[in-house]
Amino acid sequence: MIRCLPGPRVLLLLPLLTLLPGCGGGGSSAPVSAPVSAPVSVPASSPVLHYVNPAAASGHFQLVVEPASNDTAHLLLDLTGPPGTLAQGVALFITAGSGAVWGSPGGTDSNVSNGSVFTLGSPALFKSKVAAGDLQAGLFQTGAPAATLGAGPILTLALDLAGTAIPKGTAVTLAATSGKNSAYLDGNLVQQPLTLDVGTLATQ
Amino acid sequence: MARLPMGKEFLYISLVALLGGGAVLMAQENGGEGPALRPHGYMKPSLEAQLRQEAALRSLPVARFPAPPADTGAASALVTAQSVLADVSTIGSARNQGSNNDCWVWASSALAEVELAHQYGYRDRISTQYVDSLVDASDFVNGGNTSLFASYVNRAGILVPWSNGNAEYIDGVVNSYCTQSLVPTSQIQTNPAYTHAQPIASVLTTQGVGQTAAIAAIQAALDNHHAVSFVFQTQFLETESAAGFDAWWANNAETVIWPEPVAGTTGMTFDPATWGGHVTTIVGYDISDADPANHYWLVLNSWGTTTTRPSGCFRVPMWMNYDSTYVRSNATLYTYWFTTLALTVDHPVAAAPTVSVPASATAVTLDQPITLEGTVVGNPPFTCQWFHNGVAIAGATSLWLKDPVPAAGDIGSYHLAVSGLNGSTVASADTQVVVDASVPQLLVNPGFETQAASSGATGTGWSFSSQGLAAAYQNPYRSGSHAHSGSGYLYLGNYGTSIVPASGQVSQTVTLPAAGIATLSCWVQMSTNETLLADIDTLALQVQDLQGNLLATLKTFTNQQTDHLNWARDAFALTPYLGQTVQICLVWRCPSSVLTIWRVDDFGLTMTNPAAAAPTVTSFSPLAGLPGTALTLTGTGFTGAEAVTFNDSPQTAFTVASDTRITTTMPAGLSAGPVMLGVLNVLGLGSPANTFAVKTLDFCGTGVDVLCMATLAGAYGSQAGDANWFAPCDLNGDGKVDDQDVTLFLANF
Repeated sequence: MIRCLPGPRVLLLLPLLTLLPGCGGGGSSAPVSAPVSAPVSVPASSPVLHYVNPAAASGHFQLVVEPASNDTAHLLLDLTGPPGTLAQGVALFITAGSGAVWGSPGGTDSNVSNGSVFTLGSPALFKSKVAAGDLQAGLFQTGAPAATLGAGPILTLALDLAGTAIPKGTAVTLAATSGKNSAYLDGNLVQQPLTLDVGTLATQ
Repeated sequence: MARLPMGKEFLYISLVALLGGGAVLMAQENGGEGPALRPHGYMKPSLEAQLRQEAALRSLPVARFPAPPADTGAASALVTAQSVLADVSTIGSARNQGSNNDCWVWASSALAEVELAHQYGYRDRISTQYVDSLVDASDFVNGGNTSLFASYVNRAGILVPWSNGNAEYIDGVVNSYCTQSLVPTSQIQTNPAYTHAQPIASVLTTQGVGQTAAIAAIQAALDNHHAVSFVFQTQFLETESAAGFDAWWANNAETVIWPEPVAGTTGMTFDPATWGGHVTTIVGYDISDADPANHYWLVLNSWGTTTTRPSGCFRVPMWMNYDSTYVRSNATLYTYWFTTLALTVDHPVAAAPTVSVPASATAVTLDQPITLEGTVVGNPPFTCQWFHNGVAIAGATSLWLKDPVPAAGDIGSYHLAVSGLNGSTVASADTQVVVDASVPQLLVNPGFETQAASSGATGTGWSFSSQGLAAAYQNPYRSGSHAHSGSGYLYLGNYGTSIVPASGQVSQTVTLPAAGIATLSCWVQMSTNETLLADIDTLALQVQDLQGNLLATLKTFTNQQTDHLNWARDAFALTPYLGQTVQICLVWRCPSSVLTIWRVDDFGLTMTNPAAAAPTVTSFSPLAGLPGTALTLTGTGFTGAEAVTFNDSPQTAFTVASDTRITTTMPAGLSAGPVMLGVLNVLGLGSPANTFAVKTLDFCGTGVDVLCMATLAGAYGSQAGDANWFAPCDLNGDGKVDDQDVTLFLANF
């Protein structure tokens, strides 16, 4: 059997990786543990993204932060739907202002990862596009019974800090894309308006 | 592809002395054909032309180069051998002027190739054929020298690469009836080319200065990386048993020094029957031997290569008599001249070439020759290679790919790859060739590939008779590399050994269908030693009835015609004989014993249907699709289609897979909605009853976004009549919205 021993380069990286949880200044002291993306090393003096979830509202879809990613330079936001609502998919339009750029949450699509609600067909009717700060994502079941929202994230988005020269305390706009109407496909395959609640985003 | 084996014919071509006769047939057996013809050309100018040539040489500027290093006693300071042979691009067996007297073009082109390679790094074969095509009748017959070459090229302003279309050498078969190149300039692809070509010829001072100075002048040119043109006058006795230069060339190895230039001090005695001039290229020297008698110039000839001359070179003694003269009609003329060449051309920075080939499928019928004409945009040198179904075609290194006899095996994909300077940039293009094998061949054994066992028969399907020929020549069937394609062919004529007059006939009986278009074609190549300006020998292609009565003479070939010195094809309509049983006959008559022969091969007698009308399109698949969708049309009469139309707009990018099937691609830019398809040929347009539905992903007319995806998802699984059916989402028009539509959407989103 050939055993793979750690080479000199890997050994040199180990102390650095050990130091990573300490990076990022204040806020959470929990280790960076984004499930599908690599840890991002940020200089201690650099700002991070801080997201405050929106208040709960009946019948609304919401973008909520994955706590472990908050206060880092790589924020993961989950789209959740109104609990108990039957749906076949969502078409989402959302815009991020300066200070943050759309990043990769991991997975087959470069901008969006599928959550735990929808069972995609093959081929999967699932795609996204990013133009400037505008992101559009479509995620639809084909041939599966309607899913019940609320039990988990529909999809996950990622926001990265747009550089390290952004002053701490800068508010970053995150809102539904102007001129576009997000929608979801209900249990009867009829498009319904998707009301999206977005929290507040700032650097710190 | 059944391509013409260029070069092979040079071994059997006719040599007839130019102006004044003097060609002597060499009676030797060669390849079973009978007497062979001497292959090597040289110049035999009239006195007036020779005086004009010598005056031109005298008027050239004198070439001056830095002297070779002085002999300081240090071995490293003295150049003892020099060669620029590596910078001559046209070498090997292809460096063969044949019977033509254009040695001066070959030698001068070698000088130009050395200049291109040394100055600009352009290692490329210069088309001697192109320069030949520029030459007027007087110079074509009398020959020339470096000065004349520079004059023609300066007027044209370009040098053409050998790899251009029709730029390969054809003129090697010219005979005494030829006063111009066999290929007009207009038929040669002149783009790409070396543009603003300005050659300047100069003469080396070798006469009246003594041997040491003469040698130093030539050495200096070579030491400064210029090849030197060597013009010499000598005896060409045209028999290998005599003492002429041609015999010496044939019977000695490349390492042997030609003895003649040191023989005597006054040169030869002029004999009009055997005298001739020749221009060659000094590409190096060697003075390493202690004995000056073994010092020599390395001279590149243009007579091809032999087993004993693998480089096509010979050696000339360095300590020769540079002042040698001879007397012709009271004119005292120098025996030897030495010239060189300076050359400038445009030399832009090499850039990636772009390559194109015929865009649409090329559909041909059997027996119909085709040429795939590749073009390239960019600056030479280029290296070209054609591929058939992914396999490199041996020898197909020109921009134009010629297939004189398309066969069923030639169908498929053709690919032309072109690399730029030093192979650093590569571009390529593809096309398709479809051979329509449905056109019937009515003749049996049309290519003479099968010979019947019975004596006197010419081959299965053909009968033969002759008069005046020895038994060995009575059967005209031959097999070998001289065939136009395959191995069998006919060899008709008097063989130069006949009991005059020689005559004969080859024929085949055939019944023509009552309706249709009948086309008879054949390939013919002629060689002759006749010099009289008269149609002495004839070969007639005739139609006779079954009793031997002449119905029509389709063409009479004669010894004077120069359009069949290379293989050439003639075609004739046999419409008057539809519904009849006739004989297709070749009848020849040679009243003198001077050799004239015709090689005949690859007959074709094909029928096409005159009732063929505009194509019909009965169906197409898929019924709908996005721009870029691959489309197959089914119908009739697609062979020879000129275009596929979309709402009457022609699209030339299509492939005729068969007479009943065409494949194409929906062009970009079509708006969503119905489109009428069509197939166009010379007789009209055929269209189906229904229209193709051009689709779009913008289902709602508000732009292609994920809401369109939502619309597709909402219609998924439906078909016409369902509550959630939405026809625009049926992207492939199959009547349902399913995974195929999802795939199309995702691929084009």
